[in-house]
Amino acid sequence: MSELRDVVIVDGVRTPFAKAGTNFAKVRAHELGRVAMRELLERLEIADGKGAKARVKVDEVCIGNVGSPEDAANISRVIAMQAGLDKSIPGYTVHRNCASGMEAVAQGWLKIASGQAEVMMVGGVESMSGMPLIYRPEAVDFFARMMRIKSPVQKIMALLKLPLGTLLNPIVAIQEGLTDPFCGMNMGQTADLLAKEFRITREEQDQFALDSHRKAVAAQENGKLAEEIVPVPVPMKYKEVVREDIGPRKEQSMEQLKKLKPYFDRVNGTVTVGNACGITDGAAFLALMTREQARNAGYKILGKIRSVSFSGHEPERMGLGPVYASHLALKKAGLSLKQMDVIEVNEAFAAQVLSVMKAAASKEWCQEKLGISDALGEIDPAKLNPNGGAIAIGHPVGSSGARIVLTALKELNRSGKQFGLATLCIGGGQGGAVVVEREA
Amino acid sequence: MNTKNFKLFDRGDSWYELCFDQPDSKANVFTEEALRELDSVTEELSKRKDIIGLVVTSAKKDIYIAGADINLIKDLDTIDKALTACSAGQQMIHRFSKLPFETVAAISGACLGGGFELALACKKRVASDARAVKIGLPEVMLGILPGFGGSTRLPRLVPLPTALDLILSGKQVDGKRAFKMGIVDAFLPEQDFNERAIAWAKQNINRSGRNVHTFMTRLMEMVPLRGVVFSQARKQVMKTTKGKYPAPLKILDLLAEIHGLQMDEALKREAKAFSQLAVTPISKRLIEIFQLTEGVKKTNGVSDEVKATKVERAGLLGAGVMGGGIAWAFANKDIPVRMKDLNWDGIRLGYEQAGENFGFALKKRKLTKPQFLGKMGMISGSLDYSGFRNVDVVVEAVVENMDVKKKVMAETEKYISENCILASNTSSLSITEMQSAVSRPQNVGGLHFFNPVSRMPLVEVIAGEKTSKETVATLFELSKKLGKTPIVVKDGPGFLVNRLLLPYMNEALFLYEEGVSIERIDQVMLDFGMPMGPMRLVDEVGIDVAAKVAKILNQAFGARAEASPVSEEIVKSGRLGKKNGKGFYKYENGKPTAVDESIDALVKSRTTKSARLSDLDLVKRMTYPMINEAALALAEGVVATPGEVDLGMIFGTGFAPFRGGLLRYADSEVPQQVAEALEKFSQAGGGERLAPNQALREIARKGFFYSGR
Repeated sequence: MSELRDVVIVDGVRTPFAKAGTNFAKVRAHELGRVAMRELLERLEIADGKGAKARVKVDEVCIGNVGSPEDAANISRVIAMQAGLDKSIPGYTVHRNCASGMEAVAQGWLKIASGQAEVMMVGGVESMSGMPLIYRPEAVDFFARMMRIKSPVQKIMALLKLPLGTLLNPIVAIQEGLTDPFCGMNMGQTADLLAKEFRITREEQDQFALDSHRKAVAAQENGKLAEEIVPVPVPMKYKEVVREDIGPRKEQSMEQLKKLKPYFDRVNGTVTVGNACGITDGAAFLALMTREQARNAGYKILGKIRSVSFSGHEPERMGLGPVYASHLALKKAGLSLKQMDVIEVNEAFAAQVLSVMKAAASKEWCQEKLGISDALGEIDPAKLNPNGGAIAIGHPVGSSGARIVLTALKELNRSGKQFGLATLCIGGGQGGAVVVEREA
Repeated sequence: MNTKNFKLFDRGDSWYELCFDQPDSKANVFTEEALRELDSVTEELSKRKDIIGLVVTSAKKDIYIAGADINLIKDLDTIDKALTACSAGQQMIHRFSKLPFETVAAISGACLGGGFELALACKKRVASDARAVKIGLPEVMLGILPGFGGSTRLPRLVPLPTALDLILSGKQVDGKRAFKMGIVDAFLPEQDFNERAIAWAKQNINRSGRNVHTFMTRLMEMVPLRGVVFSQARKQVMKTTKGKYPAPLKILDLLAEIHGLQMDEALKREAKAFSQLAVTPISKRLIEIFQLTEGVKKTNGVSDEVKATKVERAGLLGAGVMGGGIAWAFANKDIPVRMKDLNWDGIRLGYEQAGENFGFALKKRKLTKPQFLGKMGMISGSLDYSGFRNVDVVVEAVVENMDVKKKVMAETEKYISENCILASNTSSLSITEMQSAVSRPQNVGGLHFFNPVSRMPLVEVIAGEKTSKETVATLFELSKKLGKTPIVVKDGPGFLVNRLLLPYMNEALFLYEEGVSIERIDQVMLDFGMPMGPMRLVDEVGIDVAAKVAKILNQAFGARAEASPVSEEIVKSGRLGKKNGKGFYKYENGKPTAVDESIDALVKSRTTKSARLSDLDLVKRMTYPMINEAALALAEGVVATPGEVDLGMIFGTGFAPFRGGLLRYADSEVPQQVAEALEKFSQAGGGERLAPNQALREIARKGFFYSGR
């Protein structure tokens, strides 16, 4: 194989992340995506990505999304067109559960590094508010029968057999989606399992959650998060502009967190809605290109992608994905965990991130599972999610993977440090990791 | 058997195609020649025994038949002439309708007025699904009615309410809608349309016409209900026209009268009604306005040698209500617009305004929800100049303050490309002075929209001293692209429209001070045909704003623009007009409810000096000063022609269109008389403010504002 080309990220932008059912409850995923994409195109002076005004020509758009809105099956294409990219620029949507946004980054990197593309617009988008309720098969059968019947009398007869019970008890897509089809465990249950196995106490989890809120609130107040956010005017009346994440709680306290009942395992569990990420709406996008393109266009470069890796393991311990994937990504990059200056581990659950830290620091675990002689390394809490994580900010599944890459890069640029790792766990027993390096 | 305009083709199976192809023209129009040729073709064809059917097509892209030559109508000056002309054309089309074989109109583009009347004279009609298909009878908008049989035939084809709607509103429908309404018998794809139409015609020769009547529509045409339909329609007409326009009323009378009459008799009465309308001054005025707007479409405001730049992206500074309206105008035509303001509260206001405008279209189902979001998606907001390097034009709508505007323009210039045009939406500040603040003054011009942007069609394109011709042409073309009617105005206080409007509002305030009641002032001007009385207009504009602008003009023009002291006195009491709910009128939820009589006590200087002036004199006191100022503006070259003054006043202020605009009105009043009346007002205490100026005297001496009168 020929030499891989360097791929750089020149900028990125995201919408505020809002707890599902709140400010973006009625905003479609593609609308959120459009706002973020358009803003990125404007900031980079890309215009329609093709014409004379475009500072660089965009080759393709790749967007990660889990919930596939029914009116935007290939949401990537819909967003690209609505954001004003020329119709000749193709777009595709990728799905890797919680890492869909990161998969889009990986796609961009692959295509550019291998010479298939020069400029890629990538990102992730999710409206968990917009996830549908689905009719059960019995109800679907009923509708099909009704459509076939022509005679009014028979229609009335059939109506009498209306399966009201199933009609009022639809399948909740979001609930089904968060349950593993192999082990049958809900994501929360997998976190409870890790808490037990890694001996993470309820108090440790709550403390971790509280810290996430504190860090996120601080980053809101000092404007760090605002750097990556484009405000979203809320259709259809535009009476409101959402400017920051709806999730971080300034007044969050241990007392409040303690009061919450375990949500997934009500008897023996320790995972509560307070120490888990919330279901959320939001979008995040990045512009990837070759260094040459970026230099020629005169862009300031945020950073270079050093490596991208995905890994697989047992679904019931899906939360440990970051250890597996980071190991691979660091190895490819020829770097060690210790060298990382900023580490973004997506906070699906406090118990899960704490387990990741323990596993990575455990020589035995790493020997057994990663087949390496020593521990992967300690994750310094000071370097971990310095601006808060998904427990406070939220986890719109399709977009978080892109968000943590962006957040890590912005932090590296603020602090003037060199290496960043963005990694997350993936429902179904996978892990994803991206290593980035700030351009000096 | 080919003529200059018509070609006949053998289409096999004893079918023929008659193709209308006007030489050296993009459109097909019924000129005298074309009509005569059509008649001779009809004559020949009527003798042929071998023909089974004839399909009438057009060779023009996007146009079937655009109607009758408007100049023919304009020149009709006596009822006799009008009757002769109308009857001749009507009979030609009537003879066509009697051809002894199948006739089918194949409509693939604009099919309006006389064109639609020919289609109605065919036995069947088919339309294509092309976007260009527009079918309608716009005669009413020119103050006339369909006189080539359309008024007679349409109500016999479709239910009465449908026919009334089309004829009274002059609205145009596309092929699909026409099919649903029953106007056309088939609706076919635009690809190979003429071939398809001929094939369809051959196949459907034995099919009778469509019957779109239902039990209800039949019922509505029966005696008691028919009366109700007509009286409802009349009420609607009175509501929208206030009885100022005779054509819709005449149409109602005619349709009621000819219902159930023999065709020949009905046609006779139609021609008679047409001829009565065609000679009215109102029709002449409406035709003149139509021709003025058509004229605008054909120019770029400068000259053909000057090239306008196509605006593909736009920037906007200041996103308030006005900014939001301008953003809407861009987004509505799918031009991406970047809206910059100092904070997101401001940007939100712009979004809200644009959303409100698109909301109306959504409500009327002219937009679907995804389309609504798509249009709104053309707008983006920003606190900095990011993205401005890519725009072709920046419109600034920041606060009306010269220092701020200069600063903003100088700053913006750093972030935009070399050729980007910087346009100010100022309503009163000097473009030339703004040019002093930038390094590329040739790219700076004025683009003055009127509030509310979504409803006011006028845009004043203002050329400062250093504005290049390219800039003017680009702004002119841009305005047209945005669906507006632009006029080019020379830089100067108040530009054109506000400069003329101010003496009117000012004079209303003087009359108020001289003891005329608010109601009476407004009522006489409403009766005159203004869309809003001047006192309400002052409320609407803001009493403080009116006072400020009056002061600016007073400083610029001296004694002849002496400002009424009333507005300042009222502003001091805290009344600002509609915006704070307190003005000459009382307001509830932003809507005026009644005149606020308590205001009278606030104006200490009030006398009873003019309380006894007649209504007519009140109108003259308020309108003649506008004419006076217009004469001066013309002499100074603020605009080049009286036509532009009229366009500006009609589209910028709603000045009674049936009067043809300010200067057509002036001509009908006779400039000499206007000057004399002003002299009288001047001597009666108006002084220099009401004295006829030199420019008006000059015009009075020569005769009229418009030449050829």
